Formats: sequence, C-alpha cells, structure tokens
Amino acid sequence: MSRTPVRHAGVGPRRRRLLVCTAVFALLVTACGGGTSGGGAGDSASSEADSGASGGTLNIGQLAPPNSMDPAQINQAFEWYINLTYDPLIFKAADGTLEPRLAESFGFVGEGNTSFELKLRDGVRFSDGSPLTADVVRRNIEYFRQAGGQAVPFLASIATVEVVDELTVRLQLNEPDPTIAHVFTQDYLAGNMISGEILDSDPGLLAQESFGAGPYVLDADRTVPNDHYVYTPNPEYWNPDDIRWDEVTIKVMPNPNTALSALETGQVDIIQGDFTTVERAEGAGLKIESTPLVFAGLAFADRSGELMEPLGDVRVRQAINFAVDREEITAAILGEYGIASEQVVPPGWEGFNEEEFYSFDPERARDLLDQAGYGDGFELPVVTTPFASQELVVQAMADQLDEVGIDLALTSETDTARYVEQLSSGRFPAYGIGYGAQPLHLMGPGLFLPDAAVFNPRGSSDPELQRLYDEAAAASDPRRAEVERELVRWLVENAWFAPVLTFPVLFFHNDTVAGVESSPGQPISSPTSWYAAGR
Amino acid sequence: VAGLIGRRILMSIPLVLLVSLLSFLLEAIAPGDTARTILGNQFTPERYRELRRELGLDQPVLQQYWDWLGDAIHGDLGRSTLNGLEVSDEIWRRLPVTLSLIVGATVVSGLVGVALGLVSGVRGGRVGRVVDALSLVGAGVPSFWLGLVLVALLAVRWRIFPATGYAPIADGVFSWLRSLALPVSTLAVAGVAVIAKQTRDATSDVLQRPFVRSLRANGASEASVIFRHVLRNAAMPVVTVVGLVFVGLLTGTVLVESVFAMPGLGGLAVQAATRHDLPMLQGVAITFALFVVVVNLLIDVAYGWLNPKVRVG
Repeated sequence: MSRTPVRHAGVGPRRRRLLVCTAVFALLVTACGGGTSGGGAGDSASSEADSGASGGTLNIGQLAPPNSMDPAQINQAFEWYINLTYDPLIFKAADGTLEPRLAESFGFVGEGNTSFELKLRDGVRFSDGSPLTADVVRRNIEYFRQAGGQAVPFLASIATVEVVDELTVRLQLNEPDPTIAHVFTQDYLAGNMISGEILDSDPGLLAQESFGAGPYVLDADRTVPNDHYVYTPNPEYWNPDDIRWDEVTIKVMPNPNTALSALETGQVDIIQGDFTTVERAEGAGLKIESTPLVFAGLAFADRSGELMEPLGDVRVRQAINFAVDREEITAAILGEYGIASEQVVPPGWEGFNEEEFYSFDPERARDLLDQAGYGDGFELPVVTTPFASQELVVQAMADQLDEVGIDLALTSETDTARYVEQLSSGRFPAYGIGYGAQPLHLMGPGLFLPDAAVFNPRGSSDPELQRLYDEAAAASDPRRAEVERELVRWLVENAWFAPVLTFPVLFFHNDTVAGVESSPGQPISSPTSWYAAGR
Repeated sequence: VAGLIGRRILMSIPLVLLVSLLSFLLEAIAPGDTARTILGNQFTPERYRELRRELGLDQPVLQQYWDWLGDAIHGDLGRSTLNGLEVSDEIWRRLPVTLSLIVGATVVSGLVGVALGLVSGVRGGRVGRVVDALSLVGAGVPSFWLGLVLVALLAVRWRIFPATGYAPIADGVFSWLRSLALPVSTLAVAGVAVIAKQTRDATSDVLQRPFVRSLRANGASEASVIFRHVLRNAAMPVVTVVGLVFVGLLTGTVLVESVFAMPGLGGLAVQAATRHDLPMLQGVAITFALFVVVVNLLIDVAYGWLNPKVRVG
C-alpha cells in the first residue's frame, strides 16, 4: 500500500544518469575554465626534469606577491620581481662591492660628497628597443620622485640632475651624501632604469609589464598576477652572457611550510625562508644561506620623558638594556641562526663596534633604577606587532624586565598598517621594533634623525648625534668609518634603543642552483647572479 | 519550478546588497588603509594625505559605497587600488580554481559521507559507533593542519601528489586531478564527517517507519528497500547538510588555498583584506554571496524534486 508514494518521490534511472552527468559536467566546466588561470603544479614543473642543470627553467618561491611591478612603486621587500627585468645603474655584488652595470663608471667629483657623476654604458637598449641616454636617467629620477614610492626619501639629497653629454649625468647634492651610489643599486629601487619611451607615453603600463634593460622580460600573457610571474630572455639585453636561464618563474606561496614542501619536492628551486622552517630545511639536506639583518627589540619614542617621565632619564633606558639576557632570548627564538645584538647594525656593517656595552646584569639594572628614583618600578606602555616575529622578542623581554620591576603593558596590533599608525602617532612612549640594516647614512632619516616620521615619532634630537651624522656624511674613508662607529656607540651608550637580537635573512635552495650568496655586504642575493649548478 | 526560481532570485537581491554593504563597512572601519599599505614605513603625512585623496579614500564611507554600487550595478567592479588589476578579470581568472575545489570537495564529501552514513545506519551497533567516532574526529581536525600532514606524507615523503599548485585541465585531466587530490581531500574531511552523521541519523529514523516493515513483509529485496526507499526518504535532511557543507567550504578554501598555494578566490580574499584592497575584497564578497544564493536555490529545487509536497506548497 505504501509503494506508490515512495516510488513517486524516488529517482528514476534517467534522472540518476542526469544527476551524475550534471555533477561530472560541473567538474569539467570548472576545470576547462581553469585553462585560463595557468600556472600551478602543472607548469611550474621545474626541477625534476629540466630545472637548473640544463640552464633551463629556474623556479623561485616567494611568500607574497608584489604590490606593483613598477620599480617606482614596488616595495623593497619584493625586489626579486623586478631584479630580473630592470638592470640597475650600479650593481651591488654578493660581497657588497659596488660594480658598474648600466653605468660604466661612477663616483664623487671633488671633495665633500656633494657632486656625483655617472658615465653610462654605450649601446644599451631597453626591452622596447629604446636607448639608454643621460636624459633618460634624468627623466627616471624625476619619475621616481613623482611616483611617491619608497625611493623618494633616498633621492631627497639630489638638488639638480645635469645632463653633461649623451652618456654622462652629474648629480649636484644639497647636502653631503656618501651613500648616493647605493641609492642607484638594485636594492634601493631608483637605480632600476625604465625605458624613456614608456615614461613619455604610458607609465601606467609599468604596473603590469616590464620596460627595463635587464636580462629578462616579463611574459605578461603567461603571468597570472598574484599567483605566478613568468620571465623570458630579453633579446635586446646588452650582455647576453648574463642570461643564464631559458625561463624564470616566481611562484607566490603564502605559507612558509608550503613553500618549503614545494622546494623539497622540486616544484621550486629556491625560496626565501624564515627561522620557523630552518631546522626542517636543514633536515631535508637543503642548502641554506643566511646573514643577520633585522635588529629587534624595544625602541624608546619618548626620550625626553614628556609622556613617560622615567624614559627621560638615560639611566632608566640603560637599566632596561642591562636587565635583558640577550643570549638566552636569542638562543630560545633563533637557535644558531641569530645573534644577540645591542646595536642597530649587525657585525660586518659600517658603524658596528666590536666591544660589548651591556652585559646581562639585573643587579646593575636595579641600581640604576634606584639612582634614577624608580626603584619601585613602573609600567611602560608599548605598542608592538606580531609581524616578522618582533612581538615574540618583546614578550620575552617583558618577562625579564618584570624581574627588575618594569611592567611592559603591551598593545598588540596584528595589522602592520595600524601598528605603523600607532607608533607614528607618538602616543606610545616605547614600541617593539624590527628594522633591517642599511648603510648608516640611510638609516638616519628613517630611524634616528628628527625627521624619521615613523620610527622617531616624537622627533628626538641631540646636537652631538647630529654632528656625528653630518661629519660622517661629508667625510671620506677611513675617517667616515670611524665617525660612524662613534655614532653607533653614541646611540648605544645613550640607550635610544634596547635591541635584543638580529634576525637573519635566510635563503633555502636545492643543489641545481648556484651563485646564491648572502653576506653582510649584500644580504639579499639577486636572482640575476644565480646560475645552473655545474655550468 | 520557474516561479520558485524567480521568487528566490528576487529575494536574493536584498541579501546580496546587504552583504556588499556590510563587507564595505567592515573593511572601512578596520584599522589601516590602502594608502598606508602602499607607502609602507617610508612616508610623510603630506604624501599619505595626497595618496588618500588620489585613491578617493578621503570621501565619506557611504559616499564611497554609493559610488562603488553605482558602478557595480553596471557590471563594473572597479580596479584593485593596489595594483590596478580589473576586479572582474581577477575573479573570473580565479573562479575555476575555487569551483574545482568546492565542487570536488562537495562531491567527495557527499559520496563518501552518504556511503559511510548508510552503512552505519543500516548495520548499526559497533559500525555505527565507529562512524560516529570518525565523524567527531573529522569534524574536529583543523584543515590547515591536515593539509600540512597530507603534504608531508603524500607529497614530500612518498612523492605521489604535487605539494602545491593548481594544474588547469588544459595541462591534462590527470595533472588536474593530481593537483586537486590533496586540497580536495583536506577540504572534504570535515564535510564527510557531518554528512555521514546526518545520513546515519536520517537512515536510522526512516528504518523505524512502518512502511519499511511493510516493504519487507511484501518481499521487497533488502537492496531495494535501502537504496530505492530508505535512502530516498532520508535524502531531504542530507541535501540540506550538503548545501551547508558547500557554503562552509567557501571559508575552508581561504586556508586550504594558502596551504597549497592555489590561485583561487580564498587566497585573493586574504590578500585583499590584509592589504586593504577594498574593490577586490568587495568583488570576492559579492561572488561568495552569489555562490550562497545559487546553492540555496539548488537546494530548494532539490527539495521540490525529492518531495512533491514542497513543490505544491
């Protein structure tokens, strides 16, 4: 009696077939559509067959996509994406020496570091066929300044750009700038020359395509922005011997563990690693290159004690430095891949002092606090961010500072933009910091001079610090090196910061790639230097 | 059915509008903005204000939303404020990846979950308890952890599947299936657990009904009783759960696409949210909202197909 209604509600054979066909069709449609997205496991097949050894395809893994492919807009952290397509005027080699690239020669004219001349290589053409001339360099500098990207502050010292002849440019500086040559290397973006024709016609195209004089061009048709970027040799390249690969692909892999798995299985040949995966990389037998680069710890924004009176007393800031066991924190967080640090520059960098200033001495810290009148301790508001693990360091400091009576009241901003906003507002007397080393002259306006908008939010200044900075700027080596060491010593002794450790920059790669080097002189290895192992 | 579909589509319009407004407001009140993302640490207050003006971020939030909505209604979802990419192009390019993942995971969840639930419901006893236990474990395992474990074992150690990436079917069906195997498995586990549990409960319930005893008394074969009658009657709640699983997978793709470095909409949503790329985030939110609308519509149609009483109502 119940059969009829049940049968009525059921699924007949024809409908079942329809259901199955629909499901299969849905899968096929989505898959066929996928043909347009490209990339991925199928075609990033590097290494198993043709990567490296044949000089065929190089596959690079990166943790994030670039914000733009325009050299004037791109963030420095993404420089690999444009290193391949834009040759710089000056190349910073693996050991840190500055070598001619698009500029055949360069240097200061006369004394005082205020007039700098670049002589361009003859016969260089951009990938669109247009020539490199002195006037193109002048227009590039103008464009980089107008574009408002990260290169702008580095170009601030240039007063005029004079086209001396077709291949010679002279820069007159409004103040001594011993690091102006660095500004025109691959690392500081403004040296990456862009075709003059595209600057005149449609610079908007730079965000998606390449118009450089580098060894490769971006294959826009095969590139899927934010996922993978494909590069092929530039037929116009001035030095064909430096084209080492038939193709280069940069694949975006947001998860460090995923990136390492891809490296282990040969889907990519090299990645930028981090300290959380370094042990696994070691265990997998991968090659590891590392150099200490980013100092992390506390920075004091309120060095005059307007917001937080104790910080106005140098003895309190020194006490904080004495209360921290740098070796213990470094070993716990970084193991063998980091170094304890009390200076803003790592060993091997200009300005680094060999001697130790602050040993771990909680008793001395308590004495200093007593002398300053804060023997009962105080609460110190600190803004920090988990980005790049800097919060980990501050939390470790908090435990140790608690032992001497200083209570860090942490405000954690997961959003880095919000963190920057908070610390640049000057509302916090101290903040967690992670700052990548640069030539000291460039670190001044970004870190410790009064106009460092983000990292010196309350405009701390000191005549002696300014004097040392100005003297170093105008000096020639070896006097400059000596003054820079004095400057760093001043920062340490006056405890403007309480650095704890220096994070390393890490590269993991397999044995098909050679030429990957990282040194204090040049921590970030350029992909244009890599070649197939055995060639 | 046409009337049902028409009514549902009309009802979905305010829903999509509400989703677009909410996602716009949430992103607008979140700390930070695109200008800060673009400028990084090297900025001056003047340059920041100038860039905000160039990007239109200095306008009132509701004015920004109104402008965006006006363009969106005309089919223009705008361009990424970060890199200038057309939002609709980017979504269209990534849609196949996410659909492959979600449809694949839904199909796997449905087939495996129903099979397990059916066996458990019919056999009962120890088998039922085992399915219950597995469901609990499956529902509790974090997908990103499971994904990393699967990669460590099946990609890194045994080299059976690729560790990362999406291979379009144009590269070959086999490559496509291989690239989907691990992420789809990762996504499907939680769905299998939920569907198996639901199927088991629904099957046990239907098996208790008098018509089943009547069918058996009339000499119907056990296979016919189970597959033609019990499963059919147990299908309604299971279809609901399958729909919910599909919708839940939309959020699951956010993590899984990251773990497997797949160029889908989930990863795009994360990138857009972390970089305050409002037009891109709006595009993804609208796309996900449309997914939900379409899936609910399909569930309604399926109800009518499975149970004529619903269709009449």
